[in-house]
Amino acid sequence: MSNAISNEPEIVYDKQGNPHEVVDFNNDYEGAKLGFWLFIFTEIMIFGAMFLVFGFYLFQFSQDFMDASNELNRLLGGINTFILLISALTMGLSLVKLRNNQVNESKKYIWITIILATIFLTIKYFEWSHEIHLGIYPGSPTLNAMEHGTKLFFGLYFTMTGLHGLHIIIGIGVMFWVLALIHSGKVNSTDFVVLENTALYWDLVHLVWVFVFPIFYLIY
Amino acid sequence: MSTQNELHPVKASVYFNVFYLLIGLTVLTLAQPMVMDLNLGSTLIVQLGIAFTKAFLIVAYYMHIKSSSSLFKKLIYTTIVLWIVLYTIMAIDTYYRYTPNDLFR
Repeated sequence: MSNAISNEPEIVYDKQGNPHEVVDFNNDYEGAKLGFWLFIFTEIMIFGAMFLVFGFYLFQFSQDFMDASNELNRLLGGINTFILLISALTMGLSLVKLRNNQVNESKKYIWITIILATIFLTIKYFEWSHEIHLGIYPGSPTLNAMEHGTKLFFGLYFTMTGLHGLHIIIGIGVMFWVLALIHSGKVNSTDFVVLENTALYWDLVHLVWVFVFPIFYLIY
Repeated sequence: MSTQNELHPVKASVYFNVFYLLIGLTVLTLAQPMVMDLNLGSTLIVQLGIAFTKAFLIVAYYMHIKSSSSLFKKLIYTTIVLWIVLYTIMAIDTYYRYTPNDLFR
């Protein structure tokens, strides 16, 4: 093989002709964060398109949307808002602790975040169960018999909160993975970009909910 | 050329201060329908105003953009402008679809 790894350092030259050794980019902190930000932008394109659809139909079927919003449980939605808010704090604190080399503290905060995320999902389960119990779910005979705007509202409600919930489930999985990496010492106080990107992901999940909550629950 | 030395330190106190602000704004979000009975348009303006303030706090402090290098700041500004342009074009298109002003008719 001609591309076998050689021990010779790779040299590049700048415009002035000065040589520079090419160093390893595998541990590129800025690059890892930049890549993750690009991923976040694609996520916001997905959710942004859904918000746009919501906006269009809100103006076409204002009254139906307001009536349907009144059906949602604002207490449970509000509790979930606070749970995500606290979980964003604990996720951030886990990063602070890891950077200060307080590994066990950091792990403790990740566990708290996982527990809060699970509580969020449990509350969401009860909310959905209640609506499904009332016969309101996409394609149900009860919902199909309702006003056009109501059908669109609940269709968007299940799609957007469902996609958001899926992100929470993925987030919990990623947090377990990070816990294992911290445990094995691969993520530590000097190499913490994996945890930092996980915290960025969790902030994105929180950010989406900041907009989902008022537009669905509070427009009645 | 370690980048670690250039990293901005993150402080727990910043997280807590932003957290209290976010809690306050969330209470405002929940209280608005009980305190002020507004029509749909005004409700949306108030609610989205609070939501965008919260989003700014989250992106600036929780996602560390405030203390990031200018590369990240420029990336965020550029992307926000791009989103606004893209979504404005889509909004205009959808608004005029199947009307006499439909560009694609």
